[in-house]
Amino acid sequence: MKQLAFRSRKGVSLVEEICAVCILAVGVFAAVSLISLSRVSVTSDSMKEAAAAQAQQLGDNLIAWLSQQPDYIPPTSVTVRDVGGVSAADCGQSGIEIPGYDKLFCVTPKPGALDGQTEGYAIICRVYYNGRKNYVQFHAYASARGTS
Amino acid sequence: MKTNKKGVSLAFVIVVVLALVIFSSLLFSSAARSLSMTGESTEGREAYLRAKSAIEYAKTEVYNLAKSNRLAAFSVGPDGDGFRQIADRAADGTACLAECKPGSDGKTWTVTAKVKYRNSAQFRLLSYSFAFQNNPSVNGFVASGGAIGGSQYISSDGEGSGQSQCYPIFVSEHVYSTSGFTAPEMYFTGGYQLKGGGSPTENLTSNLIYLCGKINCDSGATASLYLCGIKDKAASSVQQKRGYAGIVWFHGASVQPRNSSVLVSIPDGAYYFHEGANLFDKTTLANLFGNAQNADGKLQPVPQEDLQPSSGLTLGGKSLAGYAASVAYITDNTGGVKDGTSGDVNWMSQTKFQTSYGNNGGVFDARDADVSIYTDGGYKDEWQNCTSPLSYCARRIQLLKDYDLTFQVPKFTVTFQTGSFWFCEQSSPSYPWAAPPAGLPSDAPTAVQRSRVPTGVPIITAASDKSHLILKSKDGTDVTLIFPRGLDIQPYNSDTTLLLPAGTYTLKSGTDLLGLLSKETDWKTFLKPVSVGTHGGDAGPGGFTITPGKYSAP
Repeated sequence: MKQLAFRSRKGVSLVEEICAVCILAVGVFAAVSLISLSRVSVTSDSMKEAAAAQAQQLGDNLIAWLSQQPDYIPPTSVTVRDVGGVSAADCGQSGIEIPGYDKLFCVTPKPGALDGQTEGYAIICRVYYNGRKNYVQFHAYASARGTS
Repeated sequence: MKTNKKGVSLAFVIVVVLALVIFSSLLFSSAARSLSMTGESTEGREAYLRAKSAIEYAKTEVYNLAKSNRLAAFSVGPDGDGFRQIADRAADGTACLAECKPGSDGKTWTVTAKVKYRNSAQFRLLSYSFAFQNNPSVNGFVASGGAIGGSQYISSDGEGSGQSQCYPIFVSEHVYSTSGFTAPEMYFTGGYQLKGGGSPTENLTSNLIYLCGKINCDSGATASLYLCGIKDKAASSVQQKRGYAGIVWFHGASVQPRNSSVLVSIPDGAYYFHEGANLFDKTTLANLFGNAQNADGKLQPVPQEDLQPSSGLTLGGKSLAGYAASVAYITDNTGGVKDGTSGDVNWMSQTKFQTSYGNNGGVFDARDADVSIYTDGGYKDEWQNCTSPLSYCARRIQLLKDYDLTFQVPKFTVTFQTGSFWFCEQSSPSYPWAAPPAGLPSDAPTAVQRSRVPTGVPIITAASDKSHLILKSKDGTDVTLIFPRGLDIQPYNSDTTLLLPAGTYTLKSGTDLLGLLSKETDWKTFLKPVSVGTHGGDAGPGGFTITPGKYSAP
């Protein structure tokens, strides 16, 4: 009888093995992918964290430095500066999109309404990471009047 | 019983795969958590910079508000990537990022910044404290070469419309005038007399006029002394809100009105004046003696509350509250500044001369006061015979010398520890505010042969090769130098001299002024022009002082 034939146990172990291998393959693939993704993510996080720390330090140092500069004028071309021990490219009047440098900053003097003299500076600092594929960018402001 | 092994491998694989999935999921979630933490950390750093930037912005606003005499508690709100000033309220981290308010002593100000990031529960908090102090709004050294000394009178004969100055003038000697004066502020502490027969008429054109002593005319009869205000660019709320032209301040003053032979004492105090108030007109003066019925209203006592900082009244962009301090500052308790005894070096601190010195050297510390050192002919002997180094400490120092004297640094080191150093001269027999002599360099200090120095330039020279004039600040910042009539710095035994045009300069702290030329070309990095070509210069910063503050996490 046909119904009896379906109940036969012959050949089941092979199907079972094939299923097991397939499941194992999928499981291993998924596991390896997740592990790989995690590794990339952790590495990227680590680089981003380092870049953020550098950008913060650059911004901090720029605030302190610019507070001592009542009449800072951005240079016309890119100039590498030592800002409180941090070496970075001053983009000057060229804008922040400058190739070839990993640490950049851009300063825009803000004239005062009272006398037209510079009263503060708007700062953009950017630090690239991951082979310049990504960057961390912070905005800051420094008073030109008084020490920090 | 025989165990059936069928299906075991599938179960085993499922278990293994489950274990793998669990393990990798844990790893992934750990990576995801790391990602989240990195994002949080980055945003936290950004929030920190934003908080610090908000404080920096508040510092800028403190300066602006103080300058326009409107300093009061305020807050800082966001404005795109920047900031804007908003009404005072506590920082909430989003709509209000920082609050700036004074402490209970009125001098210490604190900016508290709070910036939210990530989610509503997380903030970056930062605090910054600094000291803010209101200074007299007029420099003590109002007269760039005031007539302190031997002149018996200041004549403005032949000056046509009268002397006009861009900085305040101060004359302690009796003024004997024919044509009036114009200056932002003027202080006549030795009396004021119109000269000339007939009906002499003069204008005193100023926002603040301080008069002490006799105010009269040598011919009497129908003289007129008009008070007029200056409408300068700076907002003057006295002129705008009160409608007056300026303020006249009487201290121990008496006036001889028209057609009168009697001097009438004027009650001490400050009075608003309208344009063209005539000090010799009885109807103008009537209000000062309680005779308001017959007064023309051109002079009105300034209410006491107007002289308080809270009144917000200004003249020439400066607080009226500062004027009281200024007047007290340059006059003693009789209303006049006395000359020093010949040969003494006199210290003027706050309201009194403090001390004089002989020839013992030492350290003279006037702390945060401004000091004027007057040197006449006698100082040469006193100071030159001094045998040990001298050190003078003050907030600002003015060295005022007689016109015909060379200022010679003795055979030792003289140190001025100060924020700014004025080198002025009493230009008798000329006017105290004479213009710089011709022949000075036009825009920058220049090393020249001594023989090529034009005549009439104020000179600092050295008594020996051991003479040093050190200028240094308390905190190592540059010292500001003001030379209203230029300066010739002559090193000892040198044919080359350093000639400076009139103006304002900065000098690196700790520099020997007499040793500049020995630095050869390097001196340009020590001495830098700030504003050259204006012989008057600014009357001084006045206004306020903001000391460097400290950051802290509240």
